[in-house]
Amino acid sequence: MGPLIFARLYALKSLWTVIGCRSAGRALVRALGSTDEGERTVAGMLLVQGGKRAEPLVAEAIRRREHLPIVLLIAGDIGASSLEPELRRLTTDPHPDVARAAHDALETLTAERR
Amino acid sequence: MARRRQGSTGRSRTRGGARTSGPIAGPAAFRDVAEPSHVLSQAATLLLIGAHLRGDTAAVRARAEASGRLSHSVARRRFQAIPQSDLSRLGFPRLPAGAPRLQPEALQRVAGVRFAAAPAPTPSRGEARMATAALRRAASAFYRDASHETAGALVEVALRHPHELVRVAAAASYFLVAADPSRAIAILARGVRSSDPLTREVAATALARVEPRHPVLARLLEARRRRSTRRRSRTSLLVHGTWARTAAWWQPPNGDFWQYIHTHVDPNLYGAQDRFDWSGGYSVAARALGGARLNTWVQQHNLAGLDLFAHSHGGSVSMVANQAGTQVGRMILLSCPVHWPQYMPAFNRVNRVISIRVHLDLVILADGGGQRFYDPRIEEHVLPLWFDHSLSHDPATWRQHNVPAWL
Repeated sequence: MGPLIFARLYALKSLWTVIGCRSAGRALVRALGSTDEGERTVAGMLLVQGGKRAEPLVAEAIRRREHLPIVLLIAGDIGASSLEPELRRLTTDPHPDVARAAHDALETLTAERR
Repeated sequence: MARRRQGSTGRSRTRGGARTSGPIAGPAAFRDVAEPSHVLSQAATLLLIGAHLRGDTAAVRARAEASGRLSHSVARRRFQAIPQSDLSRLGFPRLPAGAPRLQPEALQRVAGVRFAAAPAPTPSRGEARMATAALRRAASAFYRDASHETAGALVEVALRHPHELVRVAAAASYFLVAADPSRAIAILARGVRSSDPLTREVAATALARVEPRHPVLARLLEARRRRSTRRRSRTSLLVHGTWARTAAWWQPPNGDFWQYIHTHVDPNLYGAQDRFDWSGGYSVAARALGGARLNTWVQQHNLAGLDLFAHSHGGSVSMVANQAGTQVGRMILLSCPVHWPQYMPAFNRVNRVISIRVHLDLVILADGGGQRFYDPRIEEHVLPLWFDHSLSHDPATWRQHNVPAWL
């Protein structure tokens, strides 16, 4: 990942968090599917750093089954308790990576509550 | 308070460090040069002078803000790198950051004292006596009018303090106040060899900050390695980082980095189906769970003493496991963000810690972690590459820059 992609991700985060531009937030979610590991990682970090603001974006991505293994972990990292029923449902998902991510997200949610 | 007898090297009175009832506040801290609470309070004051002049608080705050952890207004109000309550108990005055450095003669003029020679690592009896007398005056002046000049004068006088810990603390801050930092290097280098663990730690940390390649630090690392009698593990393990559980590069047997390490670095790299992984979540809780899981995995596989190749926050997970009891041979941290002391190795349970990274790693910038370790017990290698977090697990990087030679 080069500085341009990095700057773009930060610009998206600013648009999303400062002026509430939801499409910028969605672009961050889309970047979770990048083939560039660095871009994927930074996009995920910026979403988690958005905290509870990321919850509607994560809920939407879960509904669309968008990049689920990462999105579910983000749900756990931001402490999205409202998504707990969805996470429980996905622990039995036929896709093993999804089921495991849902299980881990629930475990993280429980650990954060302690 | 009765003054106690003190040898010129000032050894051992603060050994164990914490054997003190609490800090002595303000200029009173400088009225005794031997009693442990006074000595520790003096050392803390001198180190705080350096921290304030260097602007540590502002820097740590900026890092925390960049990481987004201060987004809440209450957190922002309450954030302090050094708690104000501690500063108040020590009676540390307000001191602005950054200022011009002065010549030693000018600092001595402010302190009202004139030393014949540059400070030696161990002061002569005469020098120590003279410094003890000047110390109170310099401290009173500093607390009366805390300025860069009075702080510098106090540090200059304390370089000849009878107690080694105070000399080392003064030397650690000397780089911020004096134009000739070489005078303090000898004191820090001597401090690294001190028999007092606290003095040794302070000296090594300060020296690593200003001269990380000083031979005395290298010797410290070598000596530690020679002393280790731990059985060398015959197994190693790759630990992935954030969001990377399903990434291909580290998966046995076809991941490119797994294959490279297995073929060219360590044929005992673990590759069975039940290899370790963790969630890859980006939170303290996820890393804590990952560390606990790694600790259990190592115990279940009876692999104490294994080598760990850990990328990104996989390094943090490895350090959590190491702190929880996992014995590690070599801990090789690849592009690991620095969150010290939240994530640090348990140095008594690891033979070597090697950190390999690129310049100005953008993922670490986003993470808000530090870009490098400053502990002399961690061997730090920076590749001549920039920005890309993934390059440290790229086989081409390892081949081109002969990374295995660093292990």
